[in-house]
Amino acid sequence: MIQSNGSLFSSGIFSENPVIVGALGISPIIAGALTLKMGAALAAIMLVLMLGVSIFNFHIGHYVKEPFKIPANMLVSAILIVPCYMLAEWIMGDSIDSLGIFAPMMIFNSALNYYAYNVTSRRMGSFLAQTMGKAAGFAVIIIPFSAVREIIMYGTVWDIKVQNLFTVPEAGRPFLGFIALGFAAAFCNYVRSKYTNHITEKERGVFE
Amino acid sequence: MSGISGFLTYGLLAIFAENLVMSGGVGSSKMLSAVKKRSNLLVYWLMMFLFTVVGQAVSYPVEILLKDDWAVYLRPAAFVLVISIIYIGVRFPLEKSAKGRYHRSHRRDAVVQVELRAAERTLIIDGDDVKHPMVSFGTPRLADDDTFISRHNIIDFLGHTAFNSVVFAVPFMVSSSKWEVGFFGGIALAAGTAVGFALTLWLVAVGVDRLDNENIPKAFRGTPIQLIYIGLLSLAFSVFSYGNVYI
Repeated sequence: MIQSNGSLFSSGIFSENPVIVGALGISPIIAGALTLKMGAALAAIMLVLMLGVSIFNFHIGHYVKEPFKIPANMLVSAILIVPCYMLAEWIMGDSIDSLGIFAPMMIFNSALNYYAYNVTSRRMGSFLAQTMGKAAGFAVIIIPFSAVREIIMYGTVWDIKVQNLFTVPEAGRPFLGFIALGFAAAFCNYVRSKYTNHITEKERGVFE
Repeated sequence: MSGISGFLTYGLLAIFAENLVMSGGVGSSKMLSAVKKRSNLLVYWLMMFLFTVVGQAVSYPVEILLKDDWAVYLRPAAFVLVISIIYIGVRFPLEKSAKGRYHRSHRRDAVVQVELRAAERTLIIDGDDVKHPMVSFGTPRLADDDTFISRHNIIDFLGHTAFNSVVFAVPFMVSSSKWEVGFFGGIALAAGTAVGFALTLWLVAVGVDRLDNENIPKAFRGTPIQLIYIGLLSLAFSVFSYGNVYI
């Protein structure tokens, strides 16, 4: 069955979300994105790398033989990280050093490695929908996470003061990131199972 | 810090205070997928140790050359090149030896099959009801065959262990201005990072077994509870460090 481009894109965000469902690429979410600017910068890096590497694999990847396949992909990511750094600096209005080791570590992000290196579709439209869906799936998790963290840590969103009630700098610690992501994944599991039950009941109703 | 005390300090620092998975979440996805294949865990970790330590040792001159601020854009490509060379250098001989063993084991396999068939024929001709114990084994499993399988497993996850965020994090940490550790300090940091990863891997593997039970609510089973469990481990590890060490 051939899926439409829209469903391929949305599957990356919901049913096949790389972070929540696949537990891939979680380190920037857990410890890297402490403010919304950082989250947006990391999401932009993921989008550019995902698109660049998957386009490389779509057009040239099959000409590269083992054992040069992984090094070639990594090298493409390492070259693409240069414009990504510039984009991230433009988004954050700050040096790339503020992202610490998490900016270069995006090259080795398992979500990128898993999806962009294994381009299976031979149709340009569907493969673009698929990779952009995965990048969007990463963004829909990292952006709200980083925004909530910034509110709790500094009382701001994108450097704009939104609350003066409390500031908890410890919200930036990785253990809270792991626990919060665990609860988010459980919530998604719950919604998914409810949705699946709803669909099953609907189908049963049609057959009865 | 110098000599053995410096080496031990950096090693212990990397195992506990600056444990990459617990203090930075680095490599947590790879760790969660690695614990699913329990039989390969030790080989997986040994290869990771090799790539982390050798990678850091070979990257050291690059770290010194690319210490300036302008070099921040060149570091990723330089480190990828270094690890790629080590990866290809390890993979080629492994593949060659695996191929050689494949041919040898298949030749020996064929010889044993012929011998077994001959033995079976002899037993049938003799009218003996009791099967020869050698015949009852069926297809023989040779020691070489097992070695061949494990070698192929190694080749399969060679890429996963070589191009891993844990392997690359060490040169990036050492090349950043925060760390002035020197060559042996860098090696200690790399070895400590790999040992710290092993410790975390073991703790998570032990925990994941216990978390797979009916008492866990359905929505929390699998990845969610594993993440919460790692979070609690990370909380325990946070007593060794203060604040975000990787930003």
